[in-house]
Amino acid sequence: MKFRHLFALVMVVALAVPTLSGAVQAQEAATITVAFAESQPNTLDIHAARTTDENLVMFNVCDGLTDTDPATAAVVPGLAESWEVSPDGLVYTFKLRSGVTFPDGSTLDAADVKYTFDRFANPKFGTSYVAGVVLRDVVGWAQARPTAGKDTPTPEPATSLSGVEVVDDLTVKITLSKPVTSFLVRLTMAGAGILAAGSADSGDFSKGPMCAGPYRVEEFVQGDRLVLVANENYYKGAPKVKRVVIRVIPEASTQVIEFEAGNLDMAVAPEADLPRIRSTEALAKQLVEVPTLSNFNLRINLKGDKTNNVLVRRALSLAIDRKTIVETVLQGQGAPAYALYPPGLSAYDKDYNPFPYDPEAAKKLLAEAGYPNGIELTVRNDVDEVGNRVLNAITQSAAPAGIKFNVNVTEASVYTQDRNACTMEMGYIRWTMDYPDPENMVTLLLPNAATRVNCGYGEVAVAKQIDELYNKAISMPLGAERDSVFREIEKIAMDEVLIIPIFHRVTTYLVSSRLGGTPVDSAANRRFDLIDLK
Amino acid sequence: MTRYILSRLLQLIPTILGIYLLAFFMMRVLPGDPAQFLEGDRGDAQSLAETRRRLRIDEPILVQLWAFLSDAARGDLGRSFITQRPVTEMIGQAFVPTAQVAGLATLIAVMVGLPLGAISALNRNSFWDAASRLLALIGVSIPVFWLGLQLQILFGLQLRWIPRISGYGLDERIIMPALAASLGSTALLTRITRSALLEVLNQDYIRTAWAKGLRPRRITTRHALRNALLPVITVWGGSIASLLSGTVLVEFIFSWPGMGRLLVQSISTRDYPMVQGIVITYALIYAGINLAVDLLYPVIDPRITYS
Repeated sequence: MKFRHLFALVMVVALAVPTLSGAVQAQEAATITVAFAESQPNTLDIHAARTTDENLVMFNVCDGLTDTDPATAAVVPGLAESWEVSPDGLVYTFKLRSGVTFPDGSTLDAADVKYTFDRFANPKFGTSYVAGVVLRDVVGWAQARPTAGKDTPTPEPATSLSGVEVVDDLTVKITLSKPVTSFLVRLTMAGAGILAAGSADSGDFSKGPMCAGPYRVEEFVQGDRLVLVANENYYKGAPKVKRVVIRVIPEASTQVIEFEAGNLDMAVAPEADLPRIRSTEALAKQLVEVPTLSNFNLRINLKGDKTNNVLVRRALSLAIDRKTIVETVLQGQGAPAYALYPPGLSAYDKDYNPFPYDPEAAKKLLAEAGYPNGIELTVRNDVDEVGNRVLNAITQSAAPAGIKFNVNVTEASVYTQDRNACTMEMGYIRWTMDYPDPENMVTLLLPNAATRVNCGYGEVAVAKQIDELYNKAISMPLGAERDSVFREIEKIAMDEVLIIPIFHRVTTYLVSSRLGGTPVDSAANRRFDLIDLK
Repeated sequence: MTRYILSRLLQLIPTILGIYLLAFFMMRVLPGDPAQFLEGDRGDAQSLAETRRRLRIDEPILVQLWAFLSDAARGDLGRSFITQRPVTEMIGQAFVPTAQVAGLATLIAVMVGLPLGAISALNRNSFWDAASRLLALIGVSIPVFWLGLQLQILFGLQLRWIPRISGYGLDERIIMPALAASLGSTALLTRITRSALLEVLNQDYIRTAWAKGLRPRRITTRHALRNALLPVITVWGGSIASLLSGTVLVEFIFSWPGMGRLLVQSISTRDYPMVQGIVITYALIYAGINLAVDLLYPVIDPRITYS
């Protein structure tokens, strides 16, 4: 090979690059391109779905019996046009809308609801934890998900959820085992969407679930994109955006660059890029910030040999400078959390702040607890860059109080395993609520009752009191009185410092100025049918 | 020759079996639980047990091993824990994009690295030598992650030469990932070509060629370069194999759905069948390329024969 020729060839290739920059694909006006938040859905089976990316698809493809108002998050009719609740709060009778069709041509009736909830309750199919959240208070759940007794093996699960009954074509009766008033709210969750009867039996979800929502899945190319097309027969009216291409762009900074180049109509804006976004005028005005119902917190092992002391726990909580953390690490993408409930819940009390930053007071408490020379604790986290920076900031803010935090980071599955085995002293928890009700915050953050292990909670003196208040609150009608009971729970939990709240998250999207309407609802879900194209 | 190839292929069997066993046990030694991943951190103990039963990871480890080996012998690598799709299908799907980027990246590496290394060696200690060595140094030390984002900002945002910045497609979208992926190989090839050529240029037969009065170009191409190619080919083979395994960071930054991303994702979700399948694929790639390189030796240097 002659070097000069080779060199010439290289130069030709180098010069050819710019000419390849052919025409940008002409985008149809009614098509928008967005990207998944994290990576891509692992499954398109609605009863196994649980991640942010999976929920994004489910929210836009499936509708449930009830829905949330995009602005106020209040419960509004969905596939059920109305419902009646029996005076004892146990029997819900739903009247379905007539004439709602599925993409396969079939018409919505009560049998579809029965089929959906039977499948969701079945441990073989309803593998997501959402099944329990939605259905655990429905009669028959215990038979559908039986547990082994002390000496008896696990009984065969019932294949039908007996509390869900077909009354007539358009009427469904759901009987609860206890009168939980949040049931209608739970039915709005992405996983509670109604499937066409029999449609999931094939086990093929390459085209997503067969639902009556505003969109259906046209194709899913693993690792590349998922395409949604509008359901022209949608009962709330055909969506204005006819096609949504959801791209798989795992690197958030790349999403921002793609957005800047005009290739994405919506992108997730990571903290690291915020300073640059805010200083670029064109980007700054397309930034949309939505408070998320969440509580990012430190979970404490209540039976740890240092953390079992409430004085120590209180000292830890007083030694965290939440305001500075939100301003610096999070670039303002959050609000300091001083108690359980996030702003946006009616039970939130903005004047309640048991933990103002006070390292001196923390030091005194530690001395009182028997640690006059300071204390050393290990706090764990999984691989989460923002969380680790939060923990480093906490470490710094707690140092003046004589508290030394050792941050130990492991992979998520190891972290969860250790947390459930109670082998960690403290752990960082990114907790976003499943549905907008204070009950959800209490079940998942405090008692052992629902789903997660809370190390040592059972041995805390106030646990019984909290459980009693909780059982009282969940059957009370939604409103101020119920909220006040939940506030009582919050006060007890914070007096005992059962968790250490740090901040409530704000989700940040870049949203193209050509998208009007409500691209992101009040719960920070992206709902494409609510978009108006300018 | 045929016998040689056959024996090499036979040697593959124990190699792959060994690599597979290593992957099988190492995945299970790793703390963490695939069922835990599938359930997320909100799952309860009961559904966790159910998931473990469904994935058959509650069975004794040797039973699991036997089940896999007997399936694998029939060409069935099982199904992914996460997506429930056949492992072979998923690997096939990820391999194509990876091979495309690897192909283009290799082409770039050869077209840039070889001439640069040769120029460097032939003009030793000149300005060109210093420049190419500096380039090679930058090439091996620059972080691909940073480079990838800079390429996106430069070509995608500022110059607007590449309108579609990331994602999969055999159009302008392949250019930046290939450039980013080729950087390391280019630098490596430059350096190895330079040093191999320098060594050959000091040999007696080159002096003889000069003494015979041959034209300089003939000396460098026919006498020097050809003899310098052996180490270059060896290194080149290695770099192709590593490109074919997928360049994780490049695939992440450019949203390229290749093998590297699949592997990292599978490891972090403890998707045992996927990881095992990918490891076997890697073993086959490396073994195949090594064999190809070995078979190239006698073509370049007739003194080498296999019999």
